Amino acid sequence: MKLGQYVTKRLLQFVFVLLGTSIILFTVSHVIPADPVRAAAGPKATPAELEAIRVKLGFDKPLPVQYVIYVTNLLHGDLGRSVVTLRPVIFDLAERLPATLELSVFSLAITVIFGITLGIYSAKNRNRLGDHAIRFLSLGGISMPSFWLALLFQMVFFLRLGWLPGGGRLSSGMVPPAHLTGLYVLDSLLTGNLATLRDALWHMIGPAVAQSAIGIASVIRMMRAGMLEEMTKDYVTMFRSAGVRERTVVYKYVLKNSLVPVITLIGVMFGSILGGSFIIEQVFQWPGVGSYGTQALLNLDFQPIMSITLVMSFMYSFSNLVVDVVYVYLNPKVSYE
Amino acid sequence: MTTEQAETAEATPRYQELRHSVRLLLSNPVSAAGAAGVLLLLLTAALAPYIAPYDPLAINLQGRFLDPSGEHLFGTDHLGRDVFSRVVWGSRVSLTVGLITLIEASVLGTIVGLVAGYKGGWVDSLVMRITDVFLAFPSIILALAVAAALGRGLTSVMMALGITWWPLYARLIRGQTLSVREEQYIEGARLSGAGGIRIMFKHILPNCMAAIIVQISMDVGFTILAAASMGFLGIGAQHPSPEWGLQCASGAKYLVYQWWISTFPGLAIFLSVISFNLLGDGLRDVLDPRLRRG
Repeated sequence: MKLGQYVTKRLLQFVFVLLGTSIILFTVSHVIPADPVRAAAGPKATPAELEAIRVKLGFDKPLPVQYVIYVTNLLHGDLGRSVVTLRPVIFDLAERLPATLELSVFSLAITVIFGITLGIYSAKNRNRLGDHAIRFLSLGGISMPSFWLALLFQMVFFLRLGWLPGGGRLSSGMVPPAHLTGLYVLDSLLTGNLATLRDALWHMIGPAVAQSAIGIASVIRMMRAGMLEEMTKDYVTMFRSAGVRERTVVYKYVLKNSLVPVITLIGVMFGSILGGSFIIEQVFQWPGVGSYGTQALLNLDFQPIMSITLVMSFMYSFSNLVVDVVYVYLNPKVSYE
Repeated sequence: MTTEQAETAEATPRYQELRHSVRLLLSNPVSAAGAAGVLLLLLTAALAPYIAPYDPLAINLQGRFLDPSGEHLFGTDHLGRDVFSRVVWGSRVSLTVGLITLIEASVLGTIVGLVAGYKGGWVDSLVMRITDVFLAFPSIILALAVAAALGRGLTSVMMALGITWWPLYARLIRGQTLSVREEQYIEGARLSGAGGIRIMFKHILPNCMAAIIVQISMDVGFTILAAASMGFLGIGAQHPSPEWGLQCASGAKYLVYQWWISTFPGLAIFLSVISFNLLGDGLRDVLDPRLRRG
């Protein structure tokens, strides 16, 4: 099978997953709640509002018809209305998505860079002190509740030491850069505003580190195991006995081969960062989709919760699609399954 | 030979094997530390009424925000409740949620996985595509949505986590089933007239038990983490429950001067999860050498 065929097949699968996702979320929002009308309208809805929702979402009609109405609304970008902000959910999401994207990508970059570097170091110094320390820390990383790490971080670096800001995207008094993409780092770079750029980056350190701890730990474990396995292969022995320098063997051959499987982990990491954003954004008052979701959960504001779940699963599936295609492209040996 | 005799004859080598496995597990200091941590957690949960010096729910507004001391080992919180007692009682909540979630997920996942792997064909394809869809939601997000639909509370959390966790077990058991389905003894059982259900549960399932146990032991930590996160977000356990995540959330406002309110419950989560993870890694190495890592 050619790459093109693989991409087509994978795209079809993507569409199927989206369809399945919509069925699951339809079930969650229309079938599971004891009173779906009240759930959708919010706990404080008046009888008139309840009636309006009942008619609009077709709750008096059979389930298949309700599903069609649900999907039609989705395709028109109608994600319902938040009972807290009183605005259409899609506006709230559009406003908050850049903040979440910026932080997630930054966290993902930290995860990949630190995870790979520490994993290599650990594998090269197997069973020495540094390796033990890194393995111990990475075990701690996957066992750490992210909200606790975030709180500890705030306690030490903000409240005690004052090295990092307590939350938000910019210091108070800082004017956000001109809105081009909504990503402050990119916008301030494009407008040449270095003071804002520094401030924006400074605000991302805390939440990004707290968000990437789990991911870094997983990447380290995978990278270390991959490199150690690769080093036992015949070609390594051959190069070594042929007198090729150890550095060349490790960095030119072993590293390249053991990096490929780590790529598949990137998609998973992105998903866990998105999932963790509910907590991290809440603790660091990051005005993104995650903290919007947490507020919605606290107020049982149902339509935003459902929409965020939908948007995040879409982003996650899409990133997995990209990762899979890149993986196959880089590694043609893999059968296109 | 009666069935009873057959069982005794069979039990002896099994018992020896078990003893061997336990010895192997404990010979690794890291796994032994994990096992000790899990044991400590179980004992704490079982003996909570005897260990906790105070009523975890007793409010004492005169004794708010007391520093950790001999009297109050972990200090008191904003309502004057003893943090140590609350952490001790919280172990019951976390263990219950973690275990019930995994029982739900593993039972449902095992049944689905057995059927998919044994039947094959379109049943198998359908089940696998369904699990794909469930796995397309990033980490706890689907669980949060389901819990929101069910309403706040621990029962919702357990239901929600179970619903989102079963596909992992379904895939695991399906894989195991596929690998033993073509074995001769299965063919033998079929020829001697055993029905599908009997073959699945009597002949295939026992071969999956090791994998299920390993997976559960590796997942307990993660379900405890997930439940605590949901408690922290306010969708899980509700006030005044001594649930650890909820305690962390209620102490978050007082980090500046009363650091102990959030720190100790968080530490309890961390230590429980790390113990289960260490034990899980060890069990995997002992019970399933094929999965052993470098």
